[in-house]
Amino acid sequence: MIRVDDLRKNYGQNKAVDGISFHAGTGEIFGLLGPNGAGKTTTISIISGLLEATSGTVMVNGQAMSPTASTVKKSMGVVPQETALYEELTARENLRFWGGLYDMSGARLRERVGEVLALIGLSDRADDAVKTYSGGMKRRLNLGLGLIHEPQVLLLDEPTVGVDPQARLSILDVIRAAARKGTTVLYTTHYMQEAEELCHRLAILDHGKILAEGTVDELKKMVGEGEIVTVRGNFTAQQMHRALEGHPHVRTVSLEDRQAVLAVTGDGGSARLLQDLLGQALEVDGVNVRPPSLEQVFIKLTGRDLRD
Amino acid sequence: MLSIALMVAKDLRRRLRAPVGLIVMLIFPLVFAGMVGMAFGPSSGSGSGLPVVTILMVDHDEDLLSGVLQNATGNEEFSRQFDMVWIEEEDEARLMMENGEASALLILPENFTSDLLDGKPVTLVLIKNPAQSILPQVVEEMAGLLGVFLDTSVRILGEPLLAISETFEGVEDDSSLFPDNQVLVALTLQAAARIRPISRYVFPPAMVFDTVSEDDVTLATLLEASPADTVDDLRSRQAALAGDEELSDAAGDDDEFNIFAVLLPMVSLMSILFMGDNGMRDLLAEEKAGTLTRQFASPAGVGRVLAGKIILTLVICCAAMLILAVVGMALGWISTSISLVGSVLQVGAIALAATGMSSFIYGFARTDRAAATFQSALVMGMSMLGGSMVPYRQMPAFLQAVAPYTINYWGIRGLTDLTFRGLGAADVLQEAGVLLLIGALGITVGWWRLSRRYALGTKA
Repeated sequence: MIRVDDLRKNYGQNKAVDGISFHAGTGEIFGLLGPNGAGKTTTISIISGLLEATSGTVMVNGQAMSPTASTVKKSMGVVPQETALYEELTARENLRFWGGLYDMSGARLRERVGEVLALIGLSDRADDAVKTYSGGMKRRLNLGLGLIHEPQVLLLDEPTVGVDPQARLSILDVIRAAARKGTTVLYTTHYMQEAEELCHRLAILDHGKILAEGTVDELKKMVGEGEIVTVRGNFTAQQMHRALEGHPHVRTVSLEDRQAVLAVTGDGGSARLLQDLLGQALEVDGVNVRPPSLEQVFIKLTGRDLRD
Repeated sequence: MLSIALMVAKDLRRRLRAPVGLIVMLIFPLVFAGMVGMAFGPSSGSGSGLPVVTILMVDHDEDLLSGVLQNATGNEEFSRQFDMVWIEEEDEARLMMENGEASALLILPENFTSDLLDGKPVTLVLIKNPAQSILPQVVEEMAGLLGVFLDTSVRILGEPLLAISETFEGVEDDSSLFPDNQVLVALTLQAAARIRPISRYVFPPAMVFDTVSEDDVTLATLLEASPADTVDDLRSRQAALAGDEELSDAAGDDDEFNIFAVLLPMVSLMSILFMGDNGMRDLLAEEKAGTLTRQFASPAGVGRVLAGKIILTLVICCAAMLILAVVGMALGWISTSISLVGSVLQVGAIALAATGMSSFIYGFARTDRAAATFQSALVMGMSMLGGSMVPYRQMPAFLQAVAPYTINYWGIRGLTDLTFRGLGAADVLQEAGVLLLIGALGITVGWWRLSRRYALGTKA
């Protein structure tokens, strides 16, 4: 379990982390979502004991975290953003070394190395030098090193950056499996879809502050938009504009000839909108209804796109 | 401690997987010492470090000057350096040259003496052995000097020499022709009259050739001599150095000068200082790869990671010196009977000093480029001043005064005491002590800087 209270980290006048608080429970995958420079890596560096906070507290499994808290560090696995591996060594040697640093040895270490190799799908390449691996294989091994000592808390800093879709799915599966076994996972990412798919709860971070926190559904409801409806057909923008007049729960996202994108709130709002449009003799060829995405939530909260 | 051992073992394994850099550093002193040593001969009975130069001489003249030359080159001092073999038949001499039995063949032509005294041009034929590089050059230089000497002698003493030649003509066959005392005195006075006007240019000579025996001064002392040293200076320095102790024969068989026992420590020191860089540079390499940060996030923390790198550097330096010593012994460059305790002490002290220097450098350098520049400048500077490139006593006095501030000076001094002078552990205590102090100081400063830098924080 991780509990962070009023955490601050200043670099001179620059507030990299500005009073954030959150907690992640046992077996929970908690995501920190935000653009580059939002303060995600600084937060995870403080939690992993690499940086000292200017103020605030970090408790891991009830114990205060600091750069010298080796007992706390022993219960944590850290997976950094870059593939921090020894390229001259094999996957097995890498795993054995990192296991050894966490006081594992003998038969237990050998057994666990085998388990992790199987988990990350590298058993058949276990004795090849890492420098011969593909990018995806290195990413999987990078994750495996964080899991070798069966940590109670796993900190992952954008572990899927630059990997192919197949390797990404494999990595997300391993993380879900770890959480199912009771590991608390703190996951930073700037991929909206990944955060939606993986995290039980999320905090949206920008300029060192948490802007919103909750489950994906809770966050989506925060912005007050129900569904996104895209209407295509043989109509002009002017005809559509007239047809939408007087609809209290519809907001126009974009409108042009033959296509309109509309945000609809309220239960059954989308169905009522369609009935009205058809009732006004608009020629509609197709309709697409989907729930709002985290991206829209982020734009609503920060006023800018995550990629900006 | 276990985690430090794990880190060192891991780093050594990484080096064994990519050993090229270290192998090059190891080969460098062996190749360099081998090349220089072989150029001057591994050891010789001449006692000077140069092998005896064999010169074939063919005398077609058989007259006064060729006879003088034959007698002059037969003296003991000359024959210690040059083996002059006088051959009657030129064909036989040329055949010997073809078989590579000598460094050069010098042919004195017919009428050599008379032509010289008559002021006619004389040509000496010198044939060099193409299979050798340095020794024939020595002979060529010597032949050139001989030409200058003969020319000058004939210009000054031409008339007396001609008179002597004519006076003694036929004496070999008829002893009654031997000149009486009056003639001999007249000849002597004639020669003296020629020498007197130039005596103030010749006496006292600008250069004095003095001979010291190996009982008085060892060649190690001669090697460290400066141009200003007199023979008495060398004798007194040798006496101070030797004290009451007998020099053992560890430097080489039968007290022969073994140039490798001096060269290998000289070059090895420079190589070890560069190798020290290999261990500590790993901090920057691991920082770049992200593995350093990952180790800091583990229970090992900053302290153990730094300790691991320092021990790794020490192990690399010790292992390198051990390998160099074993190869040196296998090649016969170093005696197998050198003091084990002294060697362990000196090797450990050198390794610690190299580690300390590297720790110091990486305590301040934050990039590979800065570290490499700093390291190269420091190692090359210390190697030049401390005696890794040339014996420090060959340098100007003001530079000699700087030498004791270098690791190389103390390292080479201690190693040559062991490998060349055959001294024991007690004799290298001072050298080892200074090196240990340098090492401890460097490690302390480096540790302080590095732990402060990393404690300030590393992002994941």
